[in-house]
Amino acid sequence: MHYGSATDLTTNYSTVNSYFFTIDSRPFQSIAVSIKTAINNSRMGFDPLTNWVGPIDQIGKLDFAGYAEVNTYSNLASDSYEFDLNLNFIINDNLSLLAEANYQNFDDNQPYVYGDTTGRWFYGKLSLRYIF
Amino acid sequence: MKKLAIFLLACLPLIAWPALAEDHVDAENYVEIGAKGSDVGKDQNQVTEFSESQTKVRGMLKLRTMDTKGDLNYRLDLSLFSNEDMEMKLVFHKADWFTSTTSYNKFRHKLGHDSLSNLSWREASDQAGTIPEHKEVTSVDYSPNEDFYTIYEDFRQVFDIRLNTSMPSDIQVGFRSQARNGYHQMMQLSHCDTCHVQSKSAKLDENTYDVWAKVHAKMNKFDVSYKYTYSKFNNSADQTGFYIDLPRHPANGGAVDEFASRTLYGGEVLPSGFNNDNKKSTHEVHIEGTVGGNDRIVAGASYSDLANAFTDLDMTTTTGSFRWSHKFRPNFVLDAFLSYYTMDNDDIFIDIPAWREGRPGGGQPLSFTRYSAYNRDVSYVQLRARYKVDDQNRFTFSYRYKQTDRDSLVVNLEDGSTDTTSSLFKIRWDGRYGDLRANLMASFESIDHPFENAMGINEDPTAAYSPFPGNSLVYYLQRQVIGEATNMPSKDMNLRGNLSYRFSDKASFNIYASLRNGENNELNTYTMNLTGRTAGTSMFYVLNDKTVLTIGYDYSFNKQEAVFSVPVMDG
Repeated sequence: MHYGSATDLTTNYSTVNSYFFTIDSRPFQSIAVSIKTAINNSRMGFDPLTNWVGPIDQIGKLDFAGYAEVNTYSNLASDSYEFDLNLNFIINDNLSLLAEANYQNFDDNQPYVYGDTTGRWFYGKLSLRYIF
Repeated sequence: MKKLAIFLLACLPLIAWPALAEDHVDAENYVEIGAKGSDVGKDQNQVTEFSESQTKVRGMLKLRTMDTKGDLNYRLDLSLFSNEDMEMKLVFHKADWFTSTTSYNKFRHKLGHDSLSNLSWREASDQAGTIPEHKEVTSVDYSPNEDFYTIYEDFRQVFDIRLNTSMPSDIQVGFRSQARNGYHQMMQLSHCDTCHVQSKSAKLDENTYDVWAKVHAKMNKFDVSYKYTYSKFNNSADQTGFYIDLPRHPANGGAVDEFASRTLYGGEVLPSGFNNDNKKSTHEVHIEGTVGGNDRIVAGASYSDLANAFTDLDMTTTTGSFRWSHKFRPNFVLDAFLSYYTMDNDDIFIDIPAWREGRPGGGQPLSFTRYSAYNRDVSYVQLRARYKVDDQNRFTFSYRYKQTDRDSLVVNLEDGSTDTTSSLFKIRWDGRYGDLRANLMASFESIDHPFENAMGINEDPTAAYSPFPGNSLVYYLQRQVIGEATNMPSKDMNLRGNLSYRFSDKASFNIYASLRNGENNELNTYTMNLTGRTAGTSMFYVLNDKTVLTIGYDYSFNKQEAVFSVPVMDG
């Protein structure tokens, strides 16, 4: 038996804050260094569903009061930051030593269908550059 | 937004780095050899979506070399990080008449894995949910531990040749090949509705090829060009099959014949989710030039034909545009812009058995012709006036009228309209006072019948139905839905401002903000309101001749109303 639809008007909110900072420096004639950081936090969610309109009492076992938490199913909340360091050591006119380190952190505070995607990543590189 | 932050970070060294570390960082010719390694903790798909995440050390190579011999010169840029992460660009110039550009890019894109863990549900016969009933949603993941990914490759080869003719002219011949290889997650719904969800790993082996030739000539004061492109998409992956459950009563497993009469298939393995081979031909013509000293004309037209090799369906697209700019006075320019395109996709007859064929009260035909939602004519006209008041102030006014005339997709339930029309008014001020730059923009758009899901929500109550004539068993074939829903506004207002100030050669400052307010009061179910705000600031500061500092912040906030609609049914 169908009785029509029950509806509830809600509001979706999303907020994103991003910060970045870089510094490029050559503290010594033979050394150049670059430091970068980025911080990000994102939030998304709906208002609770508490004002259902429609045939909500037609079927006794349906729990529309319990539906009030349906809005939380789609909540998203994450915090991340990234740190990157580049170092260039100039050995002579033709040769330099390069080093890079990168660290990223992602905190998934509201895991969704892909599960908890919280993760950390570290990357490092060391190389020699020959200029010709 | 994370990607935006990464993009900003990627751009900043372009500003700051070269000034500090000239020779060794931006050297013309170099070879770089080294080792790299990475380590990932917990989940890798989000934090290293486009990065390597193997806990091992590997070699790397970067090379940049350029040289000139007589009238021949070349430049090669190569980055080789792994067999799944590399980039190359090679450019040859011969005098001023021949250029060859070759590029190749390859990287891994990690795809997420939906655990299907939210697809586990069972009906209860009491509000507290303590007495289980029969209807349920179940899911099976046949590859729960598999990581899904795509290896993307992009190869391009372009030749540009200037012809030795009396009329300045040149030709371009190009080839592009893109490939996607890997494994992705494929899902299939089974049973009479969404009660049983299955997931499998499916191979990806897709290639897209583009070949083109372009001829360009300068005829008097006009540049005229014609380009032909042939594109082909091949899917070489084996089709993935899923077993489709036998249709039967969800509670007792009976009524097999009755449920089978309502479904098209069951009890067999069928292919799923396959992208078909297709091919496309595109013709493009472009004309651009000046008339007299105060008029400029730009015109273009194109025609393309896309054919699906599996279904033999064709879709054609025809476009045309014309822009005329007239300089009435040195400080006053008027632009008129006309644009039109039409899309025509073949209809297809969906031939399926009658509903409940062979059952009492059944036999209602369900076959139908699918008219494509692509089919439409879209046109717009725009007028724009740019007026420079003085050296410090410039104003731009514009008006655009746009009409989208769809063939078959209804976007308003009340009058059955398939058309969307809109009027957009925009005004902008640009100011320049010494080291201060600023601009302000305000716009308002009124949209009649914006795109919506007409008949998308809200079931009609059962009292609205009566049995089919001469049929006491069947009341309806599909529940009628009578509610309109959309996230598109019918009134949309935007304000935006930007201010930059250059304190000195060593410091500059930028700040911006925007505000959006919209609503849709055309819907028959609710009024949709939306609000958006963005703001940000950045500062560039040279601390001394050895150090540069850049700092910034970006903020965005969006609020939009939406309606939840739940069908109330039992049985």
